[in-house]
Amino acid sequence: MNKRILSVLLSAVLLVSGMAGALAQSSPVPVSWFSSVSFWAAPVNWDMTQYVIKTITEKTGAQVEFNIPAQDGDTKLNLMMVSGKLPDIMTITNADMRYQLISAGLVWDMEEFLKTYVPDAEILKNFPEDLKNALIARDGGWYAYPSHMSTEDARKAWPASSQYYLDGIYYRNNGALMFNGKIMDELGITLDSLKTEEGVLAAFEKVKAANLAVDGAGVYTLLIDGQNFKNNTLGTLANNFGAMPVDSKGNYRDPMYASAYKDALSFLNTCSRNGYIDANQMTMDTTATKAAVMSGRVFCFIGNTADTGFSNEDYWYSPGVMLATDGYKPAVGKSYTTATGWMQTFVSKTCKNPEAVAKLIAFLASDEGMRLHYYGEEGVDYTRNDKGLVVQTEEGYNKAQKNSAATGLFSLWAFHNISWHNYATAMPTERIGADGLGAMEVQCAMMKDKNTYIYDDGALQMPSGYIVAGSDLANKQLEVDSYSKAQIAKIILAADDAAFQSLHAELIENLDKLGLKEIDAFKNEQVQRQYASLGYTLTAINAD
Amino acid sequence: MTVQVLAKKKRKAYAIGKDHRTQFELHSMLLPGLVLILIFSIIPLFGLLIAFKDYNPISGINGIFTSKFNHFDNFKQLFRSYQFWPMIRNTLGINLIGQLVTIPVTLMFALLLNELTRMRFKSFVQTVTYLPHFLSWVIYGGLCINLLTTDNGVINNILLSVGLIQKPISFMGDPSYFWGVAIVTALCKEIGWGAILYLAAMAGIDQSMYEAATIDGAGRFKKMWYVTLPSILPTVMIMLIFAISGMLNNNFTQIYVFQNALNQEMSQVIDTYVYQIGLQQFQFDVATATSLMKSLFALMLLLMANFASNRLTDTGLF
Repeated sequence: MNKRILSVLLSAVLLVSGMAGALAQSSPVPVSWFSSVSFWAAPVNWDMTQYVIKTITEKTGAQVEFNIPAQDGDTKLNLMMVSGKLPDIMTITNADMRYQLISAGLVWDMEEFLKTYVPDAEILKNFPEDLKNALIARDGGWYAYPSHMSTEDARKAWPASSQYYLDGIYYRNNGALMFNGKIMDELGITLDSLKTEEGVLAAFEKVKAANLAVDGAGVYTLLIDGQNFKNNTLGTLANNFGAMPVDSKGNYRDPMYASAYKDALSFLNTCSRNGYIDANQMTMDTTATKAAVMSGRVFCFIGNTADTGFSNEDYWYSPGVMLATDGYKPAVGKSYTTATGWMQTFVSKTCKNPEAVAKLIAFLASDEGMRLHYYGEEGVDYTRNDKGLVVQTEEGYNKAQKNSAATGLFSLWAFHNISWHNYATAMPTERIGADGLGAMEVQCAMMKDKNTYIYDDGALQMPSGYIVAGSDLANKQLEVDSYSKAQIAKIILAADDAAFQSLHAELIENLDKLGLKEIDAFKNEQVQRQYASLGYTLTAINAD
Repeated sequence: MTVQVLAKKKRKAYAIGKDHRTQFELHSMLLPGLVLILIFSIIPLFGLLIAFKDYNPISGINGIFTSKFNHFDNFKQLFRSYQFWPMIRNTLGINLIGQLVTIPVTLMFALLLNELTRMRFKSFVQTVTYLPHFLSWVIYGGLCINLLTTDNGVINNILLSVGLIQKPISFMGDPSYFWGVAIVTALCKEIGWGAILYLAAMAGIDQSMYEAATIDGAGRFKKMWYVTLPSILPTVMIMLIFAISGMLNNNFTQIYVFQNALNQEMSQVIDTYVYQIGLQQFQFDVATATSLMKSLFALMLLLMANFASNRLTDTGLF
């Protein structure tokens, strides 16, 4: 009797422990995911009631815990590196950080990682070869999964569904000048009148004089791209005024030395002196800029339009380029040799659950995964037309554009694949949407403009770690970046022309003193080598 | 045994560290603080080696000992930086002017508070003025930025409506306003808390001195000048010594919250430079060299201030 009871008890214990083991295996595994892209609207709550998120967890067993600091993300990652407590997945954009992670041996080689844990992953078979080679040339190995991939091999694997998307590949650029159509209509301003510098300034004066208000708050005549004004707003204007990072002999030199760059500064200084922009705009973060644009209070925005949410509205237009008064031709660089994406996603060697991480990455990069996180649930968030291409429903659009972070739909930017998207999606028929007619029109306008000179800037890209972090040149570059941002702000806000000229001369003089010419000479050596291997040379089309 | 010998024995018995029996409780109360200082301040001093080395933070603690000595290259990089003299100027300027304003204003506030006779009102004023001390600078700074903004900020609206200005002032954008903004916002935040120390000192003044002054015909102001101020002078001198030795320290959080690309030439101080170069640019070696230089200067200032205080007022830290 006692033996019977004992054997029953033992069986029960075995059964319970087996079930516990099975339960433990079936409950999701936490995966920590860090990103330094502070404005990434990722699904930080990982709400398992949402279809996209629930399905990802079911398919991969991973429950993601996002860590996206509101600012200084790279600093926080630096500290994590020092403490040795790296998150499982890291998505970054900073080239120096990328170099640090790879050179310190803190991240997995992506191919080795996937082959070890998910050897039958789709991505191992269909990852574009030219992109892999470009990543190896850049980093010394395939360590990162790049977002927004768009290369020749990718386009062969996933051919675009229509010319509409091909235009996007060749002409689309986030940096643009865009104008509010509602305000234009109200004041009788036409798009044609905005095709020259004088026309734009006249329009600004008209808007300022009208003293418009939206919901009781004043209208921004011109909104620049907040704290990123130097790279984004000035970068866009530098393209518009034709400042190139090479001189007339084909030598690399920083665009700040170009006379067209001075024109771009002069334009912004004129806007400042006439009251079209406000100094406080230079302190706004991306969230504040986006809020301003989406409030309808902005007449003109110049900068990175992708950060503004403008595609949620149908009243934004772009004249393409604003032709400079002095006759300089616009010039925009685009890499037609293989671009290596925007966000770079790494897996740390200290990740606690490599199988779950590998399954997650493999799934998100697969056809099924991309269909899920791009579009959601078939029949609810999207349907397919007679060619099998995705057509988003209204519910899907609302979830993706207005509630992305909560629903997970369209929110996994780190695994967005432009080539796949263009292949799988039907051409839109509405102006609204991230790839809608309005967004494509605004973001392609500059490069499609017949006046714009488009050049392949692949030869100007520096390989990772070319200027070694901590070296004398790297320290000089940091000083140059820090000094130039502050000085350029002063130049833009100069009270009169004499102050503008004086501050600009001071900028050039101090850039020389800080060693920018030395840095340019070092970079030029690499550029000349790349000219030789790629078989072309670039020269400036406007005066030096 | 004679009385003198007994007294001498007793005195010896009470010499520092000798009388463990009566001093034991005091020593044990001191112990946790000493242990904390030992663990967090003394032992980590070996990290100062980083200032003289080519240190890669990834190499961890071992790297502190195994990295190559670069002698004084980190200091040379610091002194050659275009930001060096501006940051020294800003650090000393904000602190010096800040202390010149803060100490007298806080003292005056404490003196006036001490003169209040209605206890309820006094408690109310004290509570309201020291509450901002408990707010983080991130919140308080954010509030200040909103108040000072040109886009419908309260301060600009008030100044415009009373006709003092014709167009909004960019307090956060114009570098010439930065020092004033930093000093005034810090004063508003800390005035209540700072006054507590002086009020505590005033509470310890012998009341018979005030009675004697009343008998001599002194009014409230004369009592303040001839009784209160001299009595709290040792406290004021100690605060002054701390202020002088802290001349190279700024409130990092405050400056960091207020700093932007427009005002950087007047807002970059040693602490924000260390943050920028050490944590944002990952140059721990240069950041350590900067902090070491700052600490050495602060030590010199402390010694000088203490010496001067001892000579002038017979009061000092040591």
